[in-house]
Parts: sequence; C-alpha cells; structure tokens
Amino acid sequence: MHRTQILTKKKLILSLSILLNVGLLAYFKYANFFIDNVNFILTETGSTKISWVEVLLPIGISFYTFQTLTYSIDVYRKTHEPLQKVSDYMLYIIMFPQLIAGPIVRFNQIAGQITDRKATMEDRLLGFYRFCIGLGKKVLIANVLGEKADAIMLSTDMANLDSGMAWIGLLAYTFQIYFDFSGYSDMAIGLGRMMGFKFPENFNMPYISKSISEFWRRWHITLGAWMRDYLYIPLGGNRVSNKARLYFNLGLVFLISGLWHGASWNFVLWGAFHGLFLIADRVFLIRVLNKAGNFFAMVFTFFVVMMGWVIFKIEHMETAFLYYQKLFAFNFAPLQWQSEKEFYTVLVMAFFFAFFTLIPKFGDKVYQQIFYSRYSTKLHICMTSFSIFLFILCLATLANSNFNPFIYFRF
Amino acid sequence: MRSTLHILFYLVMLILCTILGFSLFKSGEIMPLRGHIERVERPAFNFADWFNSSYQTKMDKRTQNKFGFRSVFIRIKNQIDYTFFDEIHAREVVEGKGGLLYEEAYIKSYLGKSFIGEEAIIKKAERMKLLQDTLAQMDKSLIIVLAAGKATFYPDYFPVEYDTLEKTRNNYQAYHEQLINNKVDFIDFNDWFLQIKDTSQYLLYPKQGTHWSKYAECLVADSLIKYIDHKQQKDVPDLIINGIQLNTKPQFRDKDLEDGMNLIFDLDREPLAYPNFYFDADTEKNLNALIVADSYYWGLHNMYFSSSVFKEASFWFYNNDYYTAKGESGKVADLDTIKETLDSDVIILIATEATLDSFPWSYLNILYKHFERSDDL
Repeated sequence: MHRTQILTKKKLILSLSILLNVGLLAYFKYANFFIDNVNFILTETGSTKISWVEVLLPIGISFYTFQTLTYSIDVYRKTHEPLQKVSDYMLYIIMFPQLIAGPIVRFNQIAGQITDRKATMEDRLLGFYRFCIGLGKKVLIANVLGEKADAIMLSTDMANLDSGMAWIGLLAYTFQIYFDFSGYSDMAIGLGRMMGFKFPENFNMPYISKSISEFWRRWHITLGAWMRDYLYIPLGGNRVSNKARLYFNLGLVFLISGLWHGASWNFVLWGAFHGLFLIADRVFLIRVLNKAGNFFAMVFTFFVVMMGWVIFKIEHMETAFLYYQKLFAFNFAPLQWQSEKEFYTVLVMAFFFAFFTLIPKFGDKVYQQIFYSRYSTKLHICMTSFSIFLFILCLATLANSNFNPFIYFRF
Repeated sequence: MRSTLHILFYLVMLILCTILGFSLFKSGEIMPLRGHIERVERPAFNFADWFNSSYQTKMDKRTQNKFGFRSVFIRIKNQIDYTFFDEIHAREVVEGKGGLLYEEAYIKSYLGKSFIGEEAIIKKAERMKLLQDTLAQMDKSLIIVLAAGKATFYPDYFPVEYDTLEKTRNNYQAYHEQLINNKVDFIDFNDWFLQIKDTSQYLLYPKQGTHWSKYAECLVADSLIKYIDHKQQKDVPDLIINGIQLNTKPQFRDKDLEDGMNLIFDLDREPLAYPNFYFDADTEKNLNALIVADSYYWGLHNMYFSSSVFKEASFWFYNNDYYTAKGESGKVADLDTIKETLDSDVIILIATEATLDSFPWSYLNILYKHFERSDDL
C-alpha cells in the first residue's frame, strides 16, 4: 500500500485492512450481541431462534484493533513510513503494558520509538514512580470502592435501597471507574517509560471539567483523539456544511464510542447520553455554564457524568431506572459509617485526589511537578521512597485480598 | 545526580529481585501466619484444565499464596486495617470493649442464637442419665463437663453492636437446668468460674485467647482429678502446683485469637499466671479414660493430663479425630466406639457454650443405640 502510486489500489488495500480488522472486532465482540437481538425479534414474532455457539471474547481486542487500524491509516495517509520488520510490527501491536487496557497508542505517535529509543536511568525511575502511583490508584482506591459499588449498584434487593446508599454507591462507582482506568493507564505509561517508550497521556483530572466537551478532552484522551482523527474528521468534523450534519456526526461518533465500550444496549445508551450533551454544549449549554460560573459548571458536569455512570454500570434498563428513582426518592436512612471506616476513608481520599488540583496555588503545581516536570535529586529520593512505600502497601493489600482464615478448623 | 539515580534505581531493583527471589527459592515463611490456613498446592497440568481455565485459576491462587514475603505483607495490611479501621482479618473474631477478643460463636451462643430447643436438650439429658446409670453398674463413670465459656464469663465486654441484641434462652442455661432436673451428675465449670470470678487471684480468661487460661486449666485439672477420685473410689495421681509465675508474654494458647489476627505488633497485655506443676508419679495410674471433647480439652491434653493421670487414655476431638496419651492419632471412624468405651473406666464428655449445639457429636447416640437397644435416636 505504501509503495503503490495508484490511488484506487491504495484505497482498496486500506479498505481490505479496515474490513479485516473491524470484521474481526465485530465478530468476536459483537456477534453474540447481534444474534441475541435477532433472536429476541424472532421470538417476539413467533419465529424459530437461530442456534448459535457463543464466541469467546479475546482480551483487549477493542484496544489492539484500534491500534492495527491506526497503522494502516497512518501509512495510507503517509503520516509515517511503514515498519520494515514484522517483529517491529508485532512489538507495536502486542506491546504488553498497554495491550489490554490502553492507552490507545497510535502508530505515528510511537513509530520512531519502536526502532530508536533509549531508556535513561531517569526514565526508568520516573516510569517506576508512575507505575506505583497507578498500582496504588487501582489497588488502594479502586478495588476498595468497587466492592461497595458492586454491593449497592448490583444489589438484588434494590427495592429496599435508600437514597443515601444509592448516592454512596454511585459516588463509589464514579471514583472506582476513574481510579481503576486511570490507574491502569498510569501503570502502562510507567512500564513503557521504563523501557524507553513515551506513551500518550490518557487522563487529565476529568472530574474538574466544566462541560461534557471538556470532560472528553480529559477522560480516556486517546480514545477521544482516535475517534476524532479516524472517524469524526473523515465524516467532515467541524467543517460540514450545516449544523444538523455536525450534530449527526457528533451523535454517531458517540454512539459508536458507547458501543465500543461493550456489546450491550446500555453502553449504546450511555454513548447517546454523552452525545446528546455534547450537542447541547454546541447549541447552548457551554454559554449557559460559562455564565453560571466555574463552580456551578463543574458541579453540574460532575453530576451529569455521574448520571451517565448509572447506565454504564447497570446493564438492565429497568434496574437502571429503578436506581434513578432511588437516587431521587430523598429517603435517607442513617449512615452506618462506624463499621465501614476503611471504605469511607478511601472515598474521602478518592474525592481529594480526584479534585486536588483545584486547591489554590498548591494543587496544580504539585500535579504538574509530579507528572510533567523535571525532577531534582531531592525529589527523586522522595519519590523513590514514596513509590517503594506505595508498592509495599499495594503488595500487602493484594496479599491480603483473600486472606480471612478461621482461627481453628471447623467441623 | 547521575550516580544518585543509579543508586536509587538499583535499590528499587534490589527490592524487586529480593521479593522475586524469595518467591522462587525460599520454602519457609518469615513471620509465619497463624490460624487454620489452607495450603495451596501446585496444580497438575493437563490440557482439559487448561482449556476450561481451571488450571489458570488454580495457578493464580497458588502464585498468590506463594510470593515472597507474603506473610509479612499480610501482617502489614492486617495491622493497618486493625489500627486505623478497627478491622480484624480473622474470621469470626471480634473485639469487644477494653480490647477483649471473642470468637463470635460464643457471643451468639450466649445470646441464644444457636439454641437447639428445650426438647432436644431434655432428650439428651435423659439419655445421659440413662447411660450414666448403665455405665455405673459396670463400675464406669460417665462424667459430663460443661466447660466455661468466655461470653458467659465476660458478657459486659461484648462489642457495641451486640448491646442492642436481645438475650434469649441459650444452650448452656438449658443444659444446666435439664441436667439438674434429670439428676445427671455433672461438673459445671462455667458456674464455678462465675462464682470465683471476683475472688480469683489470677485471670481465668486471657484477653486475647478464646480458651480458659493456663491457670484455669490447672484448676480444672485439679477439680477433675478430685472428681474422678470420688466417683471411682480410686486414688489417681494428683496435680501438684509448686509455684506460679506471672508473665505478660502469653504462653501456650493464651493469645490464640491475637495470633489468628496475624498482626505485626503485640496487643496490650495483662499479666497471666503460669503455674509450675507436676503430676504425682508415686500414685499408681490404674484407670483408663476416654475423653470426647471440643478444643477445651486440648490444654489439658497438652499438659499431659491424659498420660499422667490415666494408664491409657484417648482424646476424641469432636468425636472425629483421636489422639492417644501415647501420641498415636487417627480417625474415630476407624475405631469401635463401644469397645473403646467398654475398655475405659472413665468417660469424660466436655463442651463449652459455643459447641453445646452439637454436643456430644453423635457419641451419645451410638452408646444409647447399643446399651438401650433402641433405634430411636
């Protein structure tokens, strides 16, 4: 494809590549979903269902499919020369730190590093710090919050849920998904850095966003960038002739984003939910939020994102709507926090770390220093000590996760 | 700066390699974990298990159980959770007021949550009486012992969440009453301990243990010897105490609950009494004994009560596993219960409040079926 000068041939090869990659993704990830829906319609119309053996989902297929697509497209666009060796290509695709959970690394971002990179001692240390921070986010915060979020939001006794618990569950999930996903990204970026790779950032304090548009510039940044460059812009992007077409493009991109997250209607609905707010931003919402002030805009955006997480988490729509009812029933039972000190402590910590860049003069400065600036020797010593401490704490938590023995054997 | 970075990096690598090295090559544990811990063996590989992913699950569990310094890491987390969040990672261990540790089963039993019903206990008491009389005719003594229980002994120190729970009739109260009503000869150490609670010079229950203290065990041993003397009208070797040492470092099982918590640091201590004792070797051992008991007999067994007081003795732990005074062990199911009983002069049944719901673990039924020639269990 790179060597040929004939445009139609180039387009044909690209199309075949896209078809093959998207086809594999469609088969492994969406075939079961498609058949389930067809069978639902057939059952409703009294017809015989299609018999089907469920396909197993290969781990990480959503991520590495997008990476294989970027390779073909970037070579087609001549953004970068193709790799000369198959082994280099395999290295790009199955690079283990980000293979199964991102960040989505586009070919043009990493191509030079595959064949020419150097990991300095500073890179190795910075990578280790980043890995430990990610591990801490996942093990010390996300896992703890996730247990409670599951217990509440996936409860089989939701009818008896009070509003207080419903909000606690949703807050727990809101922070769980952030620290879980951003933790994985930090670990991937850290491991990559230790090997000399500089992966793109994937999260940038998304919960301080003042609009949904801003949220998607801070949340899963590599997915947003991929969708923008490989789907939204080819559809016309912002340069379409009329607003209706612009809104359609936005809606479509987010429907597909939603579906990318999972083969289930709740993910499509979640994508549509965000698409709707993005359109609203363009139409009027950003102007209103700007006038309302930063604090209100941030609280409103956080609230909207939280509402979206209900649909994201709860697969069955009826249960999701019941959960919304519980949230807004305003029947609050007394909070039994004494028996769950660890959970509430971690929840407060999660809140702090999700918003700490808002602390005047201090928050953003510390954030920039730790993640983006050069380190002094003193800071390296501090961070090494802190990272080792964090690493040991995480290992201790992981070791303990299934450890709860009886004192004596029970007959 | 450059050399500092090198030093820091190699320090990190040293830590990681040490953990990895211990995972691969070290067989024992540093700061070994206590409690009933399931050992996970390396799974055998076969393709069937690989394809149904059970091999990977087992291997994952094995790796989690095997990595270097695991016991240290577990203790670190346990200590953090206990110190900052009042969480205890030992199943059914709770901390009451004043730092007193309990097994929940004792509290639940005390509150009547495991009450098996008056009818069931009346039936057992009646059978105990029948069998006691039957065996007495053969010059054998069936001795029923209600061991003490920490919840009955310290009901005022339960965790706060139990304060609002209503106390209803429990197994111990029913047994005590029905044994009296049915004129069964029995020893109630629970009752006796409560009587001497305020006057006892030394602690009868350790703060961090679930069983009676070593001092209490000596009192129990001495009482049992005197009771057997009386019942059998034979002199059995006495327990002689020739001194008592106080120690703030708990010995034997006196901190078994704390041990099961697997912490880094010790909990607050109170001095416990450790008698220096021996059994009178000049008195002939001429009785055989069978002891069917829960874990409350372990203390006596381990202080050589069985081997010092009796000629032959066998301890049947929950009527499930047997341990002889000579050190042999095995499954009770492999033995002839009736023969073992008839070979014994003294049969002692011991249970604490937490195990009264299943006491005496079918032993009584086997005897009743044999001696009363009845299939009605």
